[in-house]
Amino acid sequence: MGTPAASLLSPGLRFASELRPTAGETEERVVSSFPSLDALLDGGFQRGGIAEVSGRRSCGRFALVLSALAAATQSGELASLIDLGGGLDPQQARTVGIELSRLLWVRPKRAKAAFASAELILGAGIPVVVLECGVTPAATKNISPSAWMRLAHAAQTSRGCLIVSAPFHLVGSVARTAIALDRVAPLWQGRAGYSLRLSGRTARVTVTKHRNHASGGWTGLRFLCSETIGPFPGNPPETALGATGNA
Amino acid sequence: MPETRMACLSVPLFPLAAWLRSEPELREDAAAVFEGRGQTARLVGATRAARRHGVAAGMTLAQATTRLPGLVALGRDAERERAASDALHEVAGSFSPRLEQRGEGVLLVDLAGLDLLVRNRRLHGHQEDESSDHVLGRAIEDAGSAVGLPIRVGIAGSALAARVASDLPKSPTIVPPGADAVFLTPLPLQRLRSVASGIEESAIEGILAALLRWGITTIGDFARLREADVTERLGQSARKLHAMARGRDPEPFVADTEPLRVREGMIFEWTVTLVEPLLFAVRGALERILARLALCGVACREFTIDLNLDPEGQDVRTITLPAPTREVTALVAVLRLDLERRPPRAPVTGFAMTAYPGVVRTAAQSLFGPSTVSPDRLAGTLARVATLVGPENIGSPETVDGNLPERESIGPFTPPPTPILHHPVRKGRGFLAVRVLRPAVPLDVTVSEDSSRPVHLTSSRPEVPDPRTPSIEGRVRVASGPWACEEGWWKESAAARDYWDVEVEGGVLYRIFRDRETQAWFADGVYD
Repeated sequence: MGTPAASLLSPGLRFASELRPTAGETEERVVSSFPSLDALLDGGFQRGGIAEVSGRRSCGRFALVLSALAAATQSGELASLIDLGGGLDPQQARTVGIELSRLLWVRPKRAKAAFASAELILGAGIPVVVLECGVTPAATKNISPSAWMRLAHAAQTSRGCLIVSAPFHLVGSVARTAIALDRVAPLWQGRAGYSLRLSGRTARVTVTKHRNHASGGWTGLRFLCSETIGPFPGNPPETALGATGNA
Repeated sequence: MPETRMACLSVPLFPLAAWLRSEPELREDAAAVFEGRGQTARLVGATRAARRHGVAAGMTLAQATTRLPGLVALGRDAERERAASDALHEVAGSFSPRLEQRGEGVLLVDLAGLDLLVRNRRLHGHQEDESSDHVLGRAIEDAGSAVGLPIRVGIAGSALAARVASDLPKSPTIVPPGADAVFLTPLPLQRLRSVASGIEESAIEGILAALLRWGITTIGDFARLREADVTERLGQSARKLHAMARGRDPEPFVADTEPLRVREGMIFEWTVTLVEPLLFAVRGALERILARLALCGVACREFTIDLNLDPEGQDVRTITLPAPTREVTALVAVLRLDLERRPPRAPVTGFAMTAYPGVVRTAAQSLFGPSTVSPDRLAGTLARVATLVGPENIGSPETVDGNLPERESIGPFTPPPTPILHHPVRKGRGFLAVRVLRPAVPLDVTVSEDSSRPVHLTSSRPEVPDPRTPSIEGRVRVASGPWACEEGWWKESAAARDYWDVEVEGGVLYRIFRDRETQAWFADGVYD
């Protein structure tokens, strides 16, 4: 006589539907491509909810969301960038590693259109959506909390991941994950007055909210200029400014 | 397998036939149609009365009028020729839907399945001893006469033989089934000219002249030569012509397909002045249109709505969608936005809609790969988002050649198929990104006296402040530059800039530039 299958199941489990993972318990994550940050987030941003990335200018927030978009599109998924400030540079996006053909770029002029677009796009089934709120707080400061509830519901229903990138905390308690970036120091190369050039900057990222974890974990991130790193192997060489030179 | 039967309808001297169709009184006059301008215009067709006086195709206007001073000279008329061509299509289309245009005034018609039509014609008084093809040929000629076109008909088993048959003076010329080779064999070589498509006229001249020198005068004689010998002596063009002489059609028959267009519309019993009642009526029409398109397995890619205005006038709008869709709601939303942006100038008394089809992409869900988005659903979503942000603000980012950092382009979002398995993700390399400021923020910059190096930045205060424009202010701690950037020096809109990377107090990094022509400063990016 073999062991009855029912006895292998957890005690108290009676129906097959109880085996289905509940919202948020899926193992699939949207990776940020920064190993130290992904380790802090148990593998990346959770699907089925909102992840918030906040930080002031020059803290590496835009680079972080571009990196997440690059990871999603490289794996073959579709992704969308709802770019409230219209700050994407397609040349740079390709350098970062984003597969442009898999990225839906939406450039709304107003926050209301941006939120409605995010809800529609999540509803269509695009699994990774970034709502980039730009650098000015004016665009998003009058958003009602119910708007975030609607977006969270849309993400949960479609099992998508909505990453909200904003200059300060916007989402509130609806966010499943929240991280805050702080700038540490720019990296300059060369000598002042002669051949000085920007090579990158460092930032500190703190997890302010994460399911099943106490907040406060932090790690350091380093962002380097493309000229410092060089292009991806196999990508044609590019420069940020095209034909440039030190006059 | 039933034998194919092809008919070729040709209108001899088509440019002239188009004129005579609309001005039949010229038929008895000495008239000719010329192509080109001035005295060097070439004659392309002349009436019998003109030809009787020695006026022939290829003559210049000067030569023809010298030969016949009273000649009525006509220029080619594109509008008359278009109407004649349409009439020819309508004649052929009344017999068979499978047509192919083979040049000016020449149509091929597939006669498969026309037995019932022939039987009906016999019942209506045609002679019993005539073959089915004869009955059809005469019926086509009669239909042509009714619309003013002198159509010659050739019917054979192949398109090539039918084309040659339609060039013969006797009409209709019927080649019995299986007798195409017997029909072509005794014909002079010159008859190959009309079917020799794809070979230059000068090459045909040379080949035919060589064959005549060798004593070969008929198509049959030419066909009996060995292909290798012909190719070796006269080249590849002769090989093609030789294949035609053996009855091989250089261009297989491919029926022209009429582009699918679905029309719906209605006239209101009262005038409509509000958007909602209009959209209520339009929604019904759109539902019917999409149902009809779905029968053909396609979706709506573009539609035109023609609004009838009160008391008179039209308002025509063409709406192109980001991707073909079958979602009525999305189409209504797009139309609503267009009507709200640009309301009709008068009450509406009716409308007519024409929808143009597009093929919806198909996608198969992968068991182990990334999730796939339903193409139909995606198309509907794109259309609805386009109504919110404008169609020019949604799509796939595209790289643009050039040097200016703010260059960008957005194209249609047509993602490639989802892979069967997840692709491996490359490890992130931590690029420092630049957030482009569009438009660039004007700056008031204080520079050092010794080296023109920026030492203080303040964003200029415009007369009408825009809350979306970021405010920039601070003392410059570190400045790196200038980095020269030039583009389009050969154009009026040339750009010549000196770029600086600056760190202001607090650690914010900006990319700023000074326009060399205006000496104005701008910030066009934030390192973020």
